[in-house]
This record gives sequence, structure tokens and C-alpha cells, in this order.
Amino acid sequence: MVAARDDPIGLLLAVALGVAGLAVRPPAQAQALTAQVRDESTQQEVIITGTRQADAALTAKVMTVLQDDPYVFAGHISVVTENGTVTLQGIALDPSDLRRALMLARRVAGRWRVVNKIELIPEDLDAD
Amino acid sequence: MFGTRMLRSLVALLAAVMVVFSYAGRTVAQSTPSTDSDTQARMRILQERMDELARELKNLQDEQAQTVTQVKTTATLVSAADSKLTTFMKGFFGTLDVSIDDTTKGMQGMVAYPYALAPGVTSPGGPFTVTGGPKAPPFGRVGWLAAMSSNGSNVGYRGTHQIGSSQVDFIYQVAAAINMAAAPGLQNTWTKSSNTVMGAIGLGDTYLGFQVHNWGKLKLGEIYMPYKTATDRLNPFAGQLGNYSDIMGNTGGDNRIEFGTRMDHVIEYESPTWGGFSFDAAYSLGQNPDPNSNLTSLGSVDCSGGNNPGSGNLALNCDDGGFNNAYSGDLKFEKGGLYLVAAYEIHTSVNRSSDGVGANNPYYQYLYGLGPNNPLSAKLLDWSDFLAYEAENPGEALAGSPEYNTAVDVANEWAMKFGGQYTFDFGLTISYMYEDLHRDVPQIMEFQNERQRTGDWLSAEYDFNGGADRVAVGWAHAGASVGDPGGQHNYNPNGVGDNEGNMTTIAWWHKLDKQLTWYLDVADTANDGNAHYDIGAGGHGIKTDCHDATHALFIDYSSAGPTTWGGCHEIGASTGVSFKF
Repeated sequence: MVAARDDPIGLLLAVALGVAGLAVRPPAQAQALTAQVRDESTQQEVIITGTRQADAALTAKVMTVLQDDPYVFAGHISVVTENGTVTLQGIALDPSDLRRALMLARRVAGRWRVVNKIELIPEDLDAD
Repeated sequence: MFGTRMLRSLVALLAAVMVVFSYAGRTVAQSTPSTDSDTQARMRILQERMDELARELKNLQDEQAQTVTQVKTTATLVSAADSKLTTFMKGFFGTLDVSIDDTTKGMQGMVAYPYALAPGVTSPGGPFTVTGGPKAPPFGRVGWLAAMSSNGSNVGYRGTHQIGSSQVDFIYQVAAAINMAAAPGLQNTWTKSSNTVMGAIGLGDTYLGFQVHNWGKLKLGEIYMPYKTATDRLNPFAGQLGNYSDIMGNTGGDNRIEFGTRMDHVIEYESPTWGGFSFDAAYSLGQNPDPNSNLTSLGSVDCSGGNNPGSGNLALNCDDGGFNNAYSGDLKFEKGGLYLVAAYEIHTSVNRSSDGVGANNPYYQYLYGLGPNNPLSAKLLDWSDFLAYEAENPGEALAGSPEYNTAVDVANEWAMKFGGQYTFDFGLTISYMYEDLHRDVPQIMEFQNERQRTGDWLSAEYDFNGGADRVAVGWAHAGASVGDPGGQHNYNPNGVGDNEGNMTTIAWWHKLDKQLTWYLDVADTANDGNAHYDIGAGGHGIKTDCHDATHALFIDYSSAGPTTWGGCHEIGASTGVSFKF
């Protein structure tokens, strides 16, 4: 203590360091908040990753169904899934192929979860 | 691998020998000090040999690793090239379709008479009486006729190219129609007048453009308008006898489909889908230097709307429906198995001033008889043009009536339609569409307005046998038009409004696999006395229509020869195969 009293610069440094330490050190509440944010962020990452995985699985499932069907020609149809909504895009060369591809996709993804962006190129290219 | 294994074995053997020698050497050293230096020398040699072998082993391992890396790199390159080739090949698409048809025009035994205003009648609206004996009967083979037909066969290539690392893609498509049953060429026959070449690249939706994820597509090129594409899926008989285009969008009958056509110089925007809703909007640049759309558009080989100059009754003119700008759009909603659609299209400054020339409508004769100094004629008839034409082509123009003044016979034509489709889970699909067609001419021209009427389309399709089979039945109805120019050889002027048409089609498709389909299709179009709708328009190669076999040059300008017969009753059966790739 005597030494400290005799060494005011050292004392000042010690005080300054203590204040700085207190300032730098987050309060308990802030620490909890940070932890919560980190947790939520992690949860979101988990959810996003999970959703992506589920989307990819759904895409694969729909593609498989289209490929395995013995009669629908889906050679020019691609499938994209975002948040569980399946979008079919590309071209169909026949109205029945278009309808059947949509019907098969709906069976897999759900009736209201399929968006049709397929361009129909029917057999009337020289119609005029 | 074998060399490496050998080396490893050799090294192991040498190591074993060294151990043995070391042990033996120590023993020998204890007993015979004179051989110690020899043993050490041998060991040194062995050690050197081992080091050398170890170096060789390391070199071999390095070489092997390098070879593996090279093989992996090559495999990656081959795989990438294979993937690129697959992607490239996937861009090709098309349809090859050939059928054998047996059809009849259903006009045998028809009789045509000349008409004039009844004695004492001064109103141009009639009534009219027969003024002479029967005119020439239908000419040629107009009964059952077998034919081979190439139907909507085409090949195309489309692709997408990402621009750098952006979210914008460059998109493109090139298509070509193919004639599978006859040599390609111009389509100038007595039933169709067009300078487009079947089989040439570009006869098909051909465009370039851009697409941005969640922002839609922008296309520029020669494209089917949204008015057509929006309801394509409601037409199960596309490319077949009796598909809905024989009546729907087809003003005036015959083989040209005014509202359901591909257009040149089109800018089109296709929206993304929001909650099931989407829309398309297209603008076809008229780029026609003539204020009355009487010329072909700059850059086009045909008049806007599809026919070539002279397809009407005046040579080198686009006066048979040529137009300037066109606008087309649709609004669509799709959710579950439900599809709802509304579409609109307008053609501006449509020139139909050839309607009066060569027509059998006595209304024209009445106006012609009034002479050039009559105030009504002066208002309606373009006498200077007609007289100049008559002077140049006296034989052709004598029996015809004069061209109409473009001031009143150039008008906008527009159409709108509403439709819906529902697909049940058990494979049944029901479609319905209502259409309203208009030509905005002054009241005084309504007597020849065959472009204004309503239409209906109803169809049911049923997929069964796990998707292997499909049957469909369709019915189209053309309502009566406001007027009629009377181009039919047997036109009856007392039958204004007697020009409704009804078409019924039945078909069965059997899929042999994903890409090959066999079909059988039967169609029947029953026309009222003045109507002339057919069963071949809209993509079927052979047109079975209400024209007999009279030569084209003879029919135009004179009306002396037969050609179009109102009230014909076409029936046809068609069976063929369709391959898609």
C-alpha cells in the first residue's frame, strides 16, 4: 500500500486498467443478450440448413417421380424448390405432358405447393 | 504397382539381411578381429544400396502419385466435357409427326345462283332474288380424299447463358418447322398464300432475350403472342384435324387464324408468378411505311397477319387483313388443378379493302351501280384506285366491284377471351373458353363485317391406364357475324347471319413410351349456308377446307369461277405417330 501511495503513476495505471477492464467487459445482461443472439443465429442457420436440405430432397423426389413415370416426357423440365414450394420450369411439347408433370409434382409436394413455369410448345408451329 | 511392391519386398529383404549380418558380424568380431573391417565395408555397401533403393522407391511413389493426379484431372475434365455435352444436347427439342388422313370437303352437289336486289327494292339490304340459272358447280375432287400430312413437325434449340456472375441470364431459342411428308418451299397454293418457307430456320418461335430471377423474362424476336399461348393448354387437339383454332380466333373462317398467330418484330415480357398470378405482355412493331398497312412490314416476307401481298383481290397489296402494330396480353391464375385465364389482343389499321372486289354480295353491285358521282359511292369507294387498276387489268377487274376507300375500310380489330381449366386427380380435365371478336368499322361498312362474332370452346380429356392412354372430345361454336362480304361462290345475300359453325372432334392417343405416341382423330365441321370454317387450320399439315379445286388466278378479281363454298360440311379421320425429343 505504501509502495502504491509512493507510486501515483502506477496507481493511476492500475485504476485506468481497472476502468478499462470494466468498460471492456460486457455486463451480465449484455452477455446474456449476445448469447441469445448467437443461439438464435445458430438456430436460424440450423433452420436454413434444414430447409435447404428438405428443399433439395423434395427436388430430388419430384425429379425421380418425373423420370420414373413411364409416359410423361419431362426431358426438358427442371425442378427448383424454395421453402417447400416446388417450381417446374422448362418446356413441355404436349398439353398432356404439362398436365401430368404438374399432377405428379403435386402428388409429391402437395396440391398447393407447385408453381407452373413450364412453357408449352404445342404441335402447331406453323399454325398461321 | 507391381514394381513398387517388388521394391518394398527387396528393401525388407535387405533390412533382414542387414540385421542378420549385424548380428553375425558382432559374433564374428568377438572371435575374429581380422574380418571386422571387411564386414563393416560390406555393411556400408549394403547401407548405400539400401539408401539407393529407398530413393528409387520414393521416386516411383512420386511418379505414381503424379500419375494418379493426372488421371484424376483427366477424369474431371472428361466429366466436365461430358456434362457440357449433355447440357448442349439437352437444348435441342422438337416434334416429328406424320399422319394418314381421309377427309371430305362435304360440298358435292352444292348449287350456286346469282342474286340481285328484288324488283322495286331500293334498300341495299335487300331482299334479293335469284336472277339466273345455276352457276358453275364445285370443281375437282371435293369428296373423300386420302392424304399424308406432316403436322406441326419442328426442331428447335434453346439455351441460357449466365452473364458473368450476375443474376441476369441471356436466353435464346431458334426453331424451324419441318415438312416430313413433302419437300420444303413457299406456301403458295390455291388454299394458302404465304412467302414463308416450311423447313427454314426461323419458322417457329425464335428469339433472344434476358431473364432475371424473380423479375421475369424479356424476349425479342418472332414469337407467338400471349393471346395464343395463354390458352394453348386448353387445346388438346393441337396439330390435329379439328383443333380449336379452326374456329377460335379465326375470324371469317378458312385457314388463317387472325387471333392466334405468331408475329414478327415482337417485344414480349413474361412476369414471374406471384401467389398463382402471372401475366404476359407483347408488342409487335408494325414498322409499316404505308399508312393503310398496304405493304409488308419492313423486314417481313408476308403481310402482317400471315398472307403474302396479293392474297386478297388486288395484286401486290396487303389489303386482305394486313395490319400495323399489334398488342397482346394475358392474365393467368393457377393453383392446384385450377387454371383461369383472360387475354386480349388488338391489331391496328387492318386493311380489308379487297373484300369488295370479286365478292358476290349484291350490296357492292348496288354501290357500284350508283356510279362515281353518287355521294354514297364517293364516300365509300376508292374510285381512282379502282379505275386505274381496271385500266391496267381489264379482264380481271371487269366482273369485280371496286376497292373500298381505305378511309373507311382500314380499321382496328381486337379480340378478348376468358377461359378456365380444371384437372381432377382421377385424370379428367375440363376446359372452357369464351371469345369475343371485333372489327371497329363505321356503321356504313357493317354489312361486310364478317370479323365480328363470338365463339365458344368446350373440351373434356381423360387420362387413363396410368397415363398411357388419353381420350378427348371437343366442341367449338362460331356465332353469327355482323355482316359478310360474300366471297363465297354460293353466297346467299338473304342469309345474313346464316353463318354459324359447329365443330366436333374426338381423339384417342396411346403412348408407346415417354416420347412416341400413336393417335386416331376424327373431326366434323358443320357450317351454316354462308359459313366456311374448316377442319385443317391451326397446325395440321393438310388443310381440309371449303375451297374447291378452281385455280387461284381464275377466282380472284372475277368471281366467275367457283372457289369457296359456304355451308360445306367437312369430315375427316386421321391416324399417325408423333415423336418428341
